[in-house]
Amino acid sequence: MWAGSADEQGVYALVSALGALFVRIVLQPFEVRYTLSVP
Amino acid sequence: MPLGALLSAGVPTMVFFANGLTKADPYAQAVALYGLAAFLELLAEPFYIRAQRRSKFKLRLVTETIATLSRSFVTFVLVTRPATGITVPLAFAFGQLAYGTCVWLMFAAAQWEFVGEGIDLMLGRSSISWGTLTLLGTFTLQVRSNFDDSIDLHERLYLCALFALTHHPVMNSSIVSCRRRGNFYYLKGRREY
Repeated sequence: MWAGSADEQGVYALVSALGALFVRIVLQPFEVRYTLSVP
Repeated sequence: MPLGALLSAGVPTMVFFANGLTKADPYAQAVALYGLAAFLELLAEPFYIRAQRRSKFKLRLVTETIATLSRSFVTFVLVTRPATGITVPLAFAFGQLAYGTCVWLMFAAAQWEFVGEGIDLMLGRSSISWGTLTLLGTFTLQVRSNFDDSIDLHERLYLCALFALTHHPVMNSSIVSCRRRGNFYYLKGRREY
């Protein structure tokens, strides 16, 4: 299932970590808006 | 919270069985660690929301900085020291676990009294007046739907505060004021118990 060398796995992991960070940054304004929103 | 616990336990289990993995498989261990990390982050969520609502932005700044640095540090050390016997997926999973632990510990430590409140609620030593909450929610929705854009935020907040202070079973108040400073609104009311 988990094919590939350690280097390949590292690249996958880095790309997913960066992707997750990017998505978080994009969603951040919405998160702040809805967390602090008043009725 | 229970749904989150179920998901963070269920998804790794599903991956485990769907791929026919064994417990010794580093990939399986990594997925389990990611599940645990996700649950820890979920545990921190009530504290995070409380801190945001109380404008404790510095707490978030410090917490997330330390958590991100510790995740990067743990991942870096484990990836660059193959002698530790830790594989790459496990190194990233331990990094994520470090992040989740930091976030939960720091948000909870800074608002420890909130933990006590939660424990008191669970043990039945205190209670939430669900009737009042429902009433407030209904009123809030009514204000929203009736006035929506024709009423400004300031006025809407004032109405909600007025309603809360006059309808809460243990509160009785005659003075309510709402002040605005920048984008923040402060509500003031004289509460008489």
